[in-house]
Amino acid sequence: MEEKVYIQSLPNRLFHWSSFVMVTMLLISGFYISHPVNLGDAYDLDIAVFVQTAAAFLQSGIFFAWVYHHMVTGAYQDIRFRWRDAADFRGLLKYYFFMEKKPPVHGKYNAGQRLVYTSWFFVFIFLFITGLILYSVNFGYVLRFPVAIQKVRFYHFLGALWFLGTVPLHIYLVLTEDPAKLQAMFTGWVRR
Amino acid sequence: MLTRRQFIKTAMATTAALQLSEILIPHLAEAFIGKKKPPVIWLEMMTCTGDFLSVANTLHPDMRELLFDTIDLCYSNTAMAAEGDLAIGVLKETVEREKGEYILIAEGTVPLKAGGRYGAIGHHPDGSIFTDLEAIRFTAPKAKYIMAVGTCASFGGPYAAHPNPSGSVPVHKVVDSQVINVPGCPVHPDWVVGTLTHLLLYGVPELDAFNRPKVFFGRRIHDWCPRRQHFDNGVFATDPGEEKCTYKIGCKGPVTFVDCPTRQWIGEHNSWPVEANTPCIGCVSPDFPDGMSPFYAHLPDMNVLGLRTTADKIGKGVAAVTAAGIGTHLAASVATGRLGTTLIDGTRPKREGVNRDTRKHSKDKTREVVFLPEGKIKGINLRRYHLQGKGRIKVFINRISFFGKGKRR
Ligand code: HEM
Ligand code: SF4
Ligand code: SF4
Repeated sequence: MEEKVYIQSLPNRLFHWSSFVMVTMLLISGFYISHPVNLGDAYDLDIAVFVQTAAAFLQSGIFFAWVYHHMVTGAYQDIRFRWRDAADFRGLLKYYFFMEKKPPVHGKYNAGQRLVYTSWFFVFIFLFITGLILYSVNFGYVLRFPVAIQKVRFYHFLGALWFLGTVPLHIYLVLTEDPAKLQAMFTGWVRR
Repeated sequence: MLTRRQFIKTAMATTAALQLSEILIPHLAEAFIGKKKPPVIWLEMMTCTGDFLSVANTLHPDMRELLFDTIDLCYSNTAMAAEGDLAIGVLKETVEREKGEYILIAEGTVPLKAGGRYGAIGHHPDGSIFTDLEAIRFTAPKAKYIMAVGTCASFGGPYAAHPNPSGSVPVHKVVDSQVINVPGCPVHPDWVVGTLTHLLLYGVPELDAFNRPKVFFGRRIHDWCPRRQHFDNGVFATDPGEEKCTYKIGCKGPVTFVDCPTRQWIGEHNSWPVEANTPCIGCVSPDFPDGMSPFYAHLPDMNVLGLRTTADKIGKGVAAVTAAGIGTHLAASVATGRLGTTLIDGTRPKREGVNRDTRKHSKDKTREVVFLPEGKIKGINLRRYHLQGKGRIKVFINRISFFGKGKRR
């Protein structure tokens, strides 16, 4: 009988897919806010602002639950980029640029994935803080400390650009490089 | 007499039909009948005089007279008849005579470069230059209250904008005591008269984190804008002059906190930028004008490798680079046959790869991943997952491994 291995726990899969939905909505509504285009009544700025705010708070909840889960289970060790992953990362780039035939051996996630996931952790926290500030201005200038809101808006935009660049990359690589792992994200299992 | 509560209510409710100043000034005059007139020093430093003119010019002539009759405007670079040594003498005399009594209204920035010699109010009797820096340091410590009027005095504004050749700074940077900021480029007379009245009758008003009186600078333009319906429904002007929401031509209403939509500006007709079909440029903001420009763009420009680009282009650039990168890689994957292999292999496990880092890969994959053979699931306690039954995770707080001794690595 074929041996199967279990690599994605149920909470992990739930975290992944709910985040996927929310981040997609955040990207679409967010860039609609900075670049509104006329889509008739189907999608307007009031909807985009609402979606951005609602999805942001849901995603923040998911994010912090995810962080908690990864801490108590120790699963963050699969994700964290370590300095010693740098060598593997170079090897991985060589593979992606067709200079080598095979990627470096890796554990649950390769060095590139570790790098991107780790960056998402930090960039999301950054978006969370800047997003909260942007949200607060709906109630006037209520902050206890002086910040220039236009700057906050700009930095929030820059943070969002990181997601705009890396999310499609993630989807592309997962589809083309390792469909088995994608399947595992649905079922939890890969074949040995 | 007007109570403080009534004051706040009137100040927040006033619309263009009735200017706040015209309500307040008579009350102020009444409060000081038979009493010593409150002394005021209006010190203009590095300024275009726009703020003084805004206050003096746009008040109704009767009101202006009443205001200037009520307060004792001891010193004003622009309005006073005296000049030269005489004027400087008045300043020095007032500061000594009214010590701890006078209100200092400071307008414009304080230039610091070249020992402050970029800006001066006159000369000392010995002929040496009386710089702005000296003047503010001389007048501020003995003032009862200090009001920085206009964006320059409050935050730096145009006179401290990049590249700031005179090394200009706002008033609060060179003064130790509290400075009440009343920004605006130029400032609205109601904000000045309102703040002054509050200081004289009730003391320091409630301030926000930028030391702006909340009564005027507490609400956001975007939340009171008559074009908000257009914003919500996506009716956007693409050029100035169109009677629509000006968001897409860079309106800074969403990040600007002041009451222009209800206060309105006084001129031949009452209006304000958006109702005149041009975007708000956020002139009361701490980072005006540098942070608010380009005035006709949603987000600031930025420097990429020494080139000035718009945030728009950066956004499109990131999208394009990602798309192009993925597209090229996809084409190459097809051409080299890599994609075919991966897809045909499908969900079969990956072939062995290149072993680069021997420290990490001791061939024992379980050190890196939880590989858990089916059928052995029950009660297995692996490093990362404690599994009970299929895929259920039990969370044990005491297993937080980042606090552990590192045995697990
Ligand atoms: C992956 C995560 C996120 C992405 C991709 C994203 C993207 C964006 C973008 C592109 C904008 C428009 C900025 C502009 O041009 O003005 C925006 C605005 C905003 N975001 Fe986010 N964001 C994310 C997370 C968050 C979070 C976590 C929060 C709050 C906790 C948040 C709250 C907001 C708010 C309040 C606005 C302003 C909406 C308005 O202008 O009315 N966002 N976001
Ligand atoms: S704030 Fe504006 S109006 Fe006032 S001095 Fe500066 S440039 Fe002139
Ligand atoms: S014109 Fe400016 S302040 Fe008014 S709704 Fe549009 S973006 Fe907001």
